[in-house]
Amino acid sequence: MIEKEITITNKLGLHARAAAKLVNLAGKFHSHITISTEQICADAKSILGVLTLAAGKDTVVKIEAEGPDEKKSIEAIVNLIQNKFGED
Amino acid sequence: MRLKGTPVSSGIAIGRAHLISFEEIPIPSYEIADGDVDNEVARFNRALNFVVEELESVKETARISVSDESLAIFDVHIAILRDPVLKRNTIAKIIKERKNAEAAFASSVRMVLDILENSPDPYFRERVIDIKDLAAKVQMKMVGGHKKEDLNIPDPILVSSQLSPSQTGPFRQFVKAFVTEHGGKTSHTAILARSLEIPAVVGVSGTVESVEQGDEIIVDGIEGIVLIKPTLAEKEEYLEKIKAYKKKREALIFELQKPSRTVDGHQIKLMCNIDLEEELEKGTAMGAEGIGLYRSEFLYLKCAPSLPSEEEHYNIYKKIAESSYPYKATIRTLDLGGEKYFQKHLAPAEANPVLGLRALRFSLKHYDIFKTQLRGILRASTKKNIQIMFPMVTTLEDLLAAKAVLREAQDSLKRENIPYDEKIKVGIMIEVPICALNAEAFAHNVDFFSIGTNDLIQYLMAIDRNNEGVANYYDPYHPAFLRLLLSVASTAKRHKIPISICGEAASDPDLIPLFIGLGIDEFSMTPQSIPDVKAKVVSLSYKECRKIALEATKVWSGDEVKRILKSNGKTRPGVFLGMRWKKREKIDG
Repeated sequence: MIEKEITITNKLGLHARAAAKLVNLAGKFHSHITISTEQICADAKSILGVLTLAAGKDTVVKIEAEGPDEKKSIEAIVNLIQNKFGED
Repeated sequence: MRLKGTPVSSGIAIGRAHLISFEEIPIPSYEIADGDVDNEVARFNRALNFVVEELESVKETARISVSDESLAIFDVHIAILRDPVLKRNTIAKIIKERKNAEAAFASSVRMVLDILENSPDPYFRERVIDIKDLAAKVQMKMVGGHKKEDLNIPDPILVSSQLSPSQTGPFRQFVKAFVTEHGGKTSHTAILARSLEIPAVVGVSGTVESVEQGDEIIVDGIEGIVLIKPTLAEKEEYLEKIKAYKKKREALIFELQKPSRTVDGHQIKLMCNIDLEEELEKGTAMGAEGIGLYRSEFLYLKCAPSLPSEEEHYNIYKKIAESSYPYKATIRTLDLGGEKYFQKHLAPAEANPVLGLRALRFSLKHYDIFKTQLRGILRASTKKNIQIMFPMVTTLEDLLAAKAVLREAQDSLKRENIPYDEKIKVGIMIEVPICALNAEAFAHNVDFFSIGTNDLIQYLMAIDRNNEGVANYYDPYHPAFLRLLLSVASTAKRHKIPISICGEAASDPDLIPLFIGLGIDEFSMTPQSIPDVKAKVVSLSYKECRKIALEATKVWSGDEVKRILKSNGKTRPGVFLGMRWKKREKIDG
């Protein structure tokens, strides 16, 4: 299992459209992926889970992945968050 | 396409499907049988996939005209519907908690909403609306609802998972038939259909999924058949059947002029059950000798969400008293509860409403509501033909408490110099087993008994009468039930108080010989059942009925009672079968 912490930097935070992108991306991998804040840990393939994190701008989230493509999946997700979900 | 269900109201109708809007209906919730788990999961998956596909096709159409940013909303919605957690939770609830698909999905959605609604961020709180909307779409597909704007279908035939009074309300004037996936002979749908004299078939699995809004359908309430998009030949066949059915009805109605007594001169009083004001004339037309049951909860329904005022009570009871004069009109006080939970503020959600705070139990806890109704009834009683009936009486204490409230209502009217019938008759519905077993105590304290067969059988058998999974236990032929009736009827005879049956069983001509034989000589039923019942009564011999009924109380099963009825007591099959039973018992033991 690998994990990585990253800060949400886009203006709107992990709102619905960003969450949809994240979930669609996570869904392409076979690994079990979670995303968590200090309070909640959510399945990264579940948009409702991701939305319940209610992670606004500047929230630090932890991505954890376990499975055959864990490395690739974390890289892709971190990349998406760093690129501010293609917004801003 | 031909589907089969339980016919609960006679007649044949041809019309167009009107799928009931989701917004109008509560989400059905019931326990599913072990064998239905796969089915429920599949039903949920189908509904979910259907809505996803619908969204995807809308998105493709929209691609041409809207910005990428707007398109992203569709992705959000599709992602919500495809959410694995939501899906897993729902399926887990179906499998582990044996919940039906609608209830399982609703409770999973609720969990998510609870979290989002409590979010400090307004942005996330707003997502609640999206999720509610999507959940409603899926529920609509499962329950068979449609948006309100799809109204105005000619000759509407209401098709739904199940129907509640509030849904059928707006359609009463012109609906042609009812088709539901759930419910039994005594569900709201069945009772209303019979009172409106329109065909109804319930327990038709798969209709909601197979029917599209506006599809032509034929409902055969005699055979319990529903034809979706019938062929021309089928339609012609049914047009002929409609003609034949009408002819038969007319002949029966002609028979009504005969007095209702058995061939050996035993008088039987046939009265009518009334739910709606519009039915008053029908009762008279069918030759009813009064109103044996006016279900006042329909008045509450009409006034919902507020409560009927004393004036509204008075006005309707006045009309009822006038229309049935010189015969009696029996007004049953509020029988709210069970399936009739139409007013949220009156009936908070109960895990088991059928066994909960309903009917008289409810009235006794809501003094103001109860007293308002009693004052309304009393004020309308000046023609001296109104009687008051309390539903679901359990203990003698309940009855005495109810009579105390009645006394207070009378005293308050007296103080205000408002006239009322000071000798107004007070009776009870016998529908709780303990009350039937304690009939002697009640006979000392009331003027009449009326047996509510639906509830009495439901409580004797420990079955929810709206749960078609246990509908096969509903057996008005059961000898233990008949023995109970015999004992209550004998008590009533000894005290010289009238006893009637006002449940749906009273309108079943096959049961009438048994009831008459047990000593019940008053029956109250939906007006249009009177011709059939009357035709039966005039063909019977009281002496013969008595013999058959007493024999029926001595056997062990409903099937044996049916056999006794079939052979009309000539070959004494009860004794024969009793012997065979004993023999089998010997082999087993």
